[in-house]
Order: sequence, then C-alpha cells, then structure tokens
Amino acid sequence: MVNYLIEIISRIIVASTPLYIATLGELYTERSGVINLGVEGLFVLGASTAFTITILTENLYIAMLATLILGFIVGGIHGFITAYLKGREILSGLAVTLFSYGLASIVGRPYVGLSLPVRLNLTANYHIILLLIILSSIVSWIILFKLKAGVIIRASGEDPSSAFVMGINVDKVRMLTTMIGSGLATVAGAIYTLGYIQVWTEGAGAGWGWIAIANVIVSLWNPLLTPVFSLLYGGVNSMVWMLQLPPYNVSPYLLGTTPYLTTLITLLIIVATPIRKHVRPPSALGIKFEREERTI
Amino acid sequence: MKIIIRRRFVEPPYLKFTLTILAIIISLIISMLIIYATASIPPTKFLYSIYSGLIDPSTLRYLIPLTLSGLGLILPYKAGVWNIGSEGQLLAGAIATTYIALYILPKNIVGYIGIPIILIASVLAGGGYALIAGYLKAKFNLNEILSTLMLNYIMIGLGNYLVYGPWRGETQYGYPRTDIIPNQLWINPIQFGGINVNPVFIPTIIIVAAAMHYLFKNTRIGYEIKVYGLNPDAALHSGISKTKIILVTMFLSGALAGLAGAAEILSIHRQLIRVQDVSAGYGYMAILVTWLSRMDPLATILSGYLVSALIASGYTLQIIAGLTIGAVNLFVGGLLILTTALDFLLKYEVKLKW
Amino acid sequence: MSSRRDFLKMAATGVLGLAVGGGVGYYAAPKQVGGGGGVGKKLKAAWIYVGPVGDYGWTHAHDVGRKEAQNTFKWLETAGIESVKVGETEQVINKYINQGYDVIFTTSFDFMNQTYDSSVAHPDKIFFHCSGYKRNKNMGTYFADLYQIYYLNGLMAGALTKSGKVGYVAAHLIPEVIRHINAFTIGITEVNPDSKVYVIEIGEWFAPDLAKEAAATLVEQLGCDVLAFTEDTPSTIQYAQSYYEDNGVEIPVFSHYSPMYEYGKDVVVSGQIVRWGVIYKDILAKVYAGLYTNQNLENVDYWYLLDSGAVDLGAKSYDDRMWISDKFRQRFEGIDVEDKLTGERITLLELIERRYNEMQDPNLAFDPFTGPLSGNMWLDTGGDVLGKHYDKGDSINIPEGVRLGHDDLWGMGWFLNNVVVQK
Repeated sequence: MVNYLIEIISRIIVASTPLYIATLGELYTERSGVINLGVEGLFVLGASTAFTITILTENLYIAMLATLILGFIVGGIHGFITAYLKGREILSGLAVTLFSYGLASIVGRPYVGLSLPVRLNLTANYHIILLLIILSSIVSWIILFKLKAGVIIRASGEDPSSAFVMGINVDKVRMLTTMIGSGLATVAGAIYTLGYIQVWTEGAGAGWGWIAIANVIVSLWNPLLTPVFSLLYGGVNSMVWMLQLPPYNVSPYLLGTTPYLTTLITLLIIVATPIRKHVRPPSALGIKFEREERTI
Repeated sequence: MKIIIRRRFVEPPYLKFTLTILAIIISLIISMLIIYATASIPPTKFLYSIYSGLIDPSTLRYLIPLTLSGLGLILPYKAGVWNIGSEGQLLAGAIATTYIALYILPKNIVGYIGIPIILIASVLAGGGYALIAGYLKAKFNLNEILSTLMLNYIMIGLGNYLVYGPWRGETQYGYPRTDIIPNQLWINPIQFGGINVNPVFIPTIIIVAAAMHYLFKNTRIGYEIKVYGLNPDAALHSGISKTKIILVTMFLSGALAGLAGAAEILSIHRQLIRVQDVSAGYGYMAILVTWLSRMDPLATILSGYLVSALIASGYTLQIIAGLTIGAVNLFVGGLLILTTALDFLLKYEVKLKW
Repeated sequence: MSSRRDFLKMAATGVLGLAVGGGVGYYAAPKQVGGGGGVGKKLKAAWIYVGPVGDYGWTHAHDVGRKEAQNTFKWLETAGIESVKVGETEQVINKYINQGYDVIFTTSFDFMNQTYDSSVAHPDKIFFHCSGYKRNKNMGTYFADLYQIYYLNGLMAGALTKSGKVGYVAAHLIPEVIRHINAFTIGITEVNPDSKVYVIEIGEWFAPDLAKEAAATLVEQLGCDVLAFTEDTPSTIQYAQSYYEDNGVEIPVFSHYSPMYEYGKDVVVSGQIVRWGVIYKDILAKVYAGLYTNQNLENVDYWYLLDSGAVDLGAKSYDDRMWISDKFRQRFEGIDVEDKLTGERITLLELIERRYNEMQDPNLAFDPFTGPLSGNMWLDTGGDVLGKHYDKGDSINIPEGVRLGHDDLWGMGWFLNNVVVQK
C-alpha cells in the first residue's frame, strides 16, 4: 500500500515538474507587465533541442544549458518587440510560438525516435524534486515581495509611468523578465523530454505552454500558489486513465479533455465567484509603456 | 549622434504595404539561412518550393478554410478581442454539418434545399461555440485567449468521442468514421479555365470580403468595432456597448469558421473522421492570414493565398529537399515576428540627428 | 513537374498565378501502363506515409520495405513523403503524378477515400492502398496481419504473468487492434485460463507521452505485470525498462512492429515484426512484368500472414525468425504445458515452436480463432460474426472446432470474455 502511494505520488510529481517550471517563468514575465504566448512554442523548442543535444553530446548538463541559452535568445525576440518596439504582444507571442514549432521540428527531425543515451531520473529523486519545487516557490515569493528586485519588477507591471519617474528602466526590466521566463520555458521543455517522456517525436510537448499560461492566472500571480495547480494538473493527467475501464466506462476521448476542462472551470471559478475580489492581475499587464518621444 | 524616436500621428499611405513586402523578403532570407545552417538545404530549393506553391492549383484547396476563418477573425481582432478558437469553431461547424446531413435531413433530400440548411447549421454551430468564450469574457471578463484555446481542445475531444462512439458508421467496417453523407449534398469542384474551383465557397469568400469591406467603411457597427478596438474606455464613454461588441464579433468570426468546417466536410471529407484530421490546423493558420493582411478584408484574400501557397510548398519542400512543414512554420512564424516588429516604423518615426 | 510546361500552361490559360499542373491527369486518355517495359525502362513508385519515418513503428516499417524494394530492383526508382495529412492526400498524390511516378502506395487506412478518388482521376496510373477495402481496376489493396504473432506472444505472456493481469496499451479500438487483443488473449488463456487482459485506449497512433501514462496506469494502478501494445513508439518498452532500473521489478513486454529490443534489453520478451518489403517486391515485380496493369487490380487484395514471410515473431532485427530473448527462452524451456489439441505434456518453448510451424503451413494446420470462443459484441453499431448479425452487448459463442473466416477477422468488433475494456 505504501509502495503504491509512493509510486502514484512520484508519478504526479514527475508529470507536474515541467509545468511548474514553465509557470514560474511566465509568472515573473507577467509580474513585469508582459504576456508571453511564446511560452507554448518555447516549451516545444526546449523539448526538441535538449533531446538533440543530449544525443549528440551524451551530456544532460550541456543540453540543459544550451537549451536555456536558446530560450533567452528566442524569448528575447519577444521581449525586444514588446518592451522596446511596443509591438502587439499577443501576435508577437503567437509568432514566436509558431517559429519555435518550426525550429523544433527542424532541429529534432534527424534524431526522431532514437533512444536517449542518458536520462534524467526524476522518479527516483521525486522527494528532492518536491523539495526544490516548494523551495523555489518560496524563494520566488521572497524575491518578488521582499527584495528590491521584486519591487522593480512589480512596479514595471503595476505602474510603469511612476516606475519610470522613479528611475526604473521599465523597458529593460520587461526585456529581462521575458528572457528569464522564456529560458525557464525551454528548460521546462528540456525536463519534459529528458526526464518525463524520454523520447522525442514531432510536436512533443505541444499544449503544455498554454496550460502554463493559464496556470499563472489560476495561481493568482502568486508564486506560493503555483505548485498547487501544477500538482493538481499533473495528478489529473495521470489519474484519469483508470476511468475508461469498467465500472466507470467514460470515453477516453472525453477523458482527454479533462486537463482543458479542469483549466477552464478553474479559471471560471476564479472570475465568477467571490474569489475574484482577491484576484488582481498586475495593473499594466499587457499594456504597453509608451512615451511620445525618446532619444537614445 | 542621436536617434530620435517620435510617435507618428499620420501614417504614410505606402508604408504598410512596403513594410509587409520587406517583412516577407527578410524572413525569407532568415529562414533560408537557418535551413541551410541546420539541414544544409540550398536556398534555391526553398525558393523553388515556394514558387511552385504559388502556381500550384491545389493551393485553392487550402485557401477556402484559411480565408473564410481569416476573414472572420478580422472582426474580433479589430475590436481587440483575441479569438484564438477558430480551430474549435471550425470543428463545431464540421460536426454540425455531419449531424444534419446524416441524422436530420431525409436521405433523399435535394441538394439545393439540403445544402443551405447545412450551411446555416454550421454557421450557427461555429458562431454559437464562439459565443461561449464571448459570453464568459463579456460577463466575467474571463481571458478569451485562454478560454478559446481550451475550447479548441475540448471540441477535439467531443468530436472524437462522437466518431469513435455513437456516430461510428454502420458501413465503415468498425472504423472510427461516420457514414458518408448522401451524394447530392457533396459540393464538388467544377472546372473553370482549366482549374478546379469550388462553386460555392470561392464565391462566398469574395462576397464575404466585399461585405466586410462595406461593413467597416459604411456601417455603424463597423465604426463601433474600430473605435472599441482603438480605445475601449473612450468607446464605453461614448455609449458603445462592450457586451454587444464582444458578442457580435465573436459570433461572426465563429460563424465563418463554422462555414469553413462545412466546406471541409462537404467538399473534402464527405464524412466526419478523427477530428484532428478534419482540419490540419487551419484555424490557427487563419490567425496569420488575418494579421498579414493587417486586418483588411480584401487583402485577406491575398494573404490567404500566400499562406495557402506556403502550405502547398511544404510538401514540395519535402519531395525535393526532404524537409517537412516545420520549415514552413519557421518561415511563417518569422514573417509574423517581423511584421509585428516592423509595425514599430508605422507608429513611430525614427530620425537620426548629428 | 517541369517549370517550362507550367509556364506555357499558365500563359495559355491566362490566369495569373495559377497553373494547371494538377489538371493534366484528367485529360490523359486511359492507356495501359506496366508491362512492355523491357530492358532499360524505369519504374517510378512513390509512398505516401501518414506519420514520420522515424516513428519506429508503422511508417518506419513501411519505409524499410520501400528501401528493400529499391535495393533489390535496379529498374526501380522510389520516393517517400511523410506526415501527410488526410485532407491533403490528393494534392500530394498529384505532385508525384506530375513528377512522372507510375505507382503510388498509400499506407494509411485514413487515405482510402482520397486514394480511390485519385485512382478515378488518374486511370493511367496504378495505386495500392494499405489496409483498406476499396478497390478499382487500377487500385489494389494489401495488408500484413499480426494476429497469429500476437497469439504466440500471448502464450508467453500467459506463462509470465503472476498476478493474472496483463496490460495492453491500444492506440485505437478498431477491428485490426481488436483482433490483435483477442488473439493475444487466446494465447494467454491457453496457458493461464483465468487471466484477464486490461485494455487502455489512448486515442493516438503516435503519442509517447500518452502511451507512457497508460502503461504506468496498467502497472501501478491496476497491478498488471506483463505489457503489450499497439502504438507506434517504443514508449511502453521504455517505461518497462525504466521501471526495471528504478524498482528492480521486471515487467515483461512485447515489441510492436519494428524491432525494439534495444529500448528494453532487460524486459523485452519477443514481439511482432513486419517485413513490408516482401509485399512491395511482389507487387512491383508483377507491375514491371506486366502482370498487374491499370486494368486488372479490381480483385487484387493481399492478406499476408505468417506463411508468407511478411510477418514474424521477433524484436531484434528484421531478419528474426521466431526470435525470443535468451533470458526468457530459458524460462520457457522450464515451463510444462499441455498442448490442448493433442493432450501431450510439452515445454512452453516446444508449444510455441509447434504452433509457429503449424501456422507456417499454407493450409493452416492451426488458427487461433477456432472455437470454442465466447465474448460480447462491443461496437456501438454491432457487427456480423459467421454471417449472423449481433447488436452491441449480445453474447457471441463460436462452437468448438469452428474457425472464423477472413471477413469475420477483418471486421472484428467483439471482445473475448477475458478482456477488460471500456463498455
């Protein structure tokens, strides 16, 4: 019985870890006022590049590092367009996602179906991972709400004009948080292939980025709450399979929608019940910070 | 030296077009370089594929779903409502089409009565599905990007449930597909100047584009949508109803996506199959079509043709160079990134001062 | 497609930006192709694949077959295109026809209607569709079926399960997969009559993440201790191998379609191998020799079983003949079973060899789908068994000694009683 529980708990933790990391990254980005829909594509891109580089170098750390850097670069495009060029961030994010889908497919294609020479063993270390998840969420909360860096990030997301007057370089802050969020999204994708599915195929990891973006809202932009829905989601995703067999007999195709239904319903509960009084997205989220004239 | 960036108040007329062309050229060069660097495919092969897509008659096959959904998306996007759910709305239309054709209409109904009924149903289904997200946004301010995305996945699950479960065809030897809809309800292409042209949906696209052009130029609702999109707060103060704008734009965009779904069933598949196979992501590609046209209804036909040609070239690219649709995604994504980035020059003027 | 011809056509039609390359086939009068080739004439054949060649399952196996044909025949030129979407099949076929290809193979059931339409539009070309039932005078069908192999795998699984629960990860519950699950179950219950087979449907042919979750559910939540699957990635095997490395618990597993032994050296028992090359070489040689033309394919339907050499028992390479992993082979030598046909006591390995040889016999000395068998109709639409119609839920009893025919197997929509599956 104990073994059985441990197996289930470790499975849920392994399934939730990539989602948690991507969510945490996007949370930093949104706290500074930027929505990054590129997270979806970056997750897929991370999944593919980490796989390819692990095959080529047989080294997980080089793969993770390279993936992180790639995330900074590709995500930086979105950061630059939104922060400096004041472009439409919804489109820019979707464009980054599509571009990343394409790049992921080109990068991974020669190695599709190959076996990983080394794998990241998450299952055996699930307790350490759980600890890291909890610690990182507490540390993120301290950074955002107790340290100066957090004040700067939140000021850029709440009231960029005042922040600017106070001497904060809003554009730069937004650029940096977008890069951090993007880097975490690609690393999440890397962990997804190296530690969770352990193979790569075209489109591996698609859909998780969208859930991560929704998860930021569900966590009410609070890092302390991000592990909760991540684990809940991972749990639902792992546990629904049972329900297609007797005595439940639920169609697997309807069960396949539970992750999305869960997300939609959770979002709805948050906006349509008294909980909404406690929901306060960053006031300037998705709003461009523009000045009439600038000189560089 | 100083760079001065100043906001424009008047947009130079030629600039939009120039920037789009510029974006196409730059992204073409970047994609060719990336593909050459990662897969050693010579740029000439990439260019030849795109050229062959542009002159390939099969491009018209993709044009229908892309342009219909793309035209629909102009409405919410002009109002700043981000409907990402064309894919799900298209499937809703396809599912409704199959339902009406197989289970509601008498088997011997004549085409010119049956087809209009089906088209109306698909419009209502697509529009109705979009209204769910529209209502949640209007009433609870629920983020429509996320709700429409989730609804896409939910419609895929629902459609597959039907195909694998209650709608599995009696004549399909147990395979997960519905029975084939009656012959007289098919809309087959006709030969026109040596090309296969869809006699219903190609004219529909032209009519819808013209109607939408008129809507934005000459009608009150078109004006309200534009004003709301530019400045929602100001629009609300001048008495424009937020609920009305959201519901109308969402319904109409969903309706056109639903019509695209009917087109896929009546002209291509003739039965409902695994729903991921009904639409090959056309609902998502439509977002690009809309944006590349910079939300101009008439230009949407052109951008729809361009994106269709790129899809067609994806297969040529594989045949002659061994690359998949990934290369096309890379190019289209890059194109969209550049268009968004170059928008900067539309809104700001950049001057050098010594 | 030559660009010069397109240019001329474009100029001729006067429609800017639209050429008529795709229309060419429509005007060509039907003429006989194939045959009369003689020395020096090349035959061009193109394969349309539904998934990526690297899937290591279905599409990969077809591509291996294509390459085998390519390497065997000097007069043959081949090409393949992967990840073709169902609604775009006709466009892709047209591209190849415009490039002068004579024979088109479409390798997914989902391509059936589009292939048929293409065969009507291009009566001068030859089409072969894998796994479907629509034929035309220039369109034949072919399939290599694995049910006998699944039965042999079942004999092994039945001996290996201790909990009496065997897990099966199924891509889709369609007749082909239902047939495989039933054959597997017949093998299992022959050596272990009270065992159950638990089936989880994942809804995708190609989904390593879903297959992994389904396998984990079968093992960790339902207590299955042997796994088999129908899905196009080695995910289920990788799961079993990691489970063995992490927990030291052995979950024996059977490889599917392509040789997947390398993915799970400690856990793979055996598996199913398909050699599409056998069928492709046969078809292409006959087309080249003029035996198959665009006029006589109406009744050409390959249904290749163990006796043809197109399918085999194995997991290590395409050359496997009745291959079983050494580790498990030794165990099977020590297990005593009864041959239910003769009543003899023999070792399990002997039984497997005996059945393998019986099914190699072209007269089929043995077939797993022989009564007594009992189960229930599963399809919502019901279906026919031995010429009699059954509605969903009706119980089906195949009398002792009665063998199911091709059509019963082909459209199988019912499950045996020992299969635990969604209603």
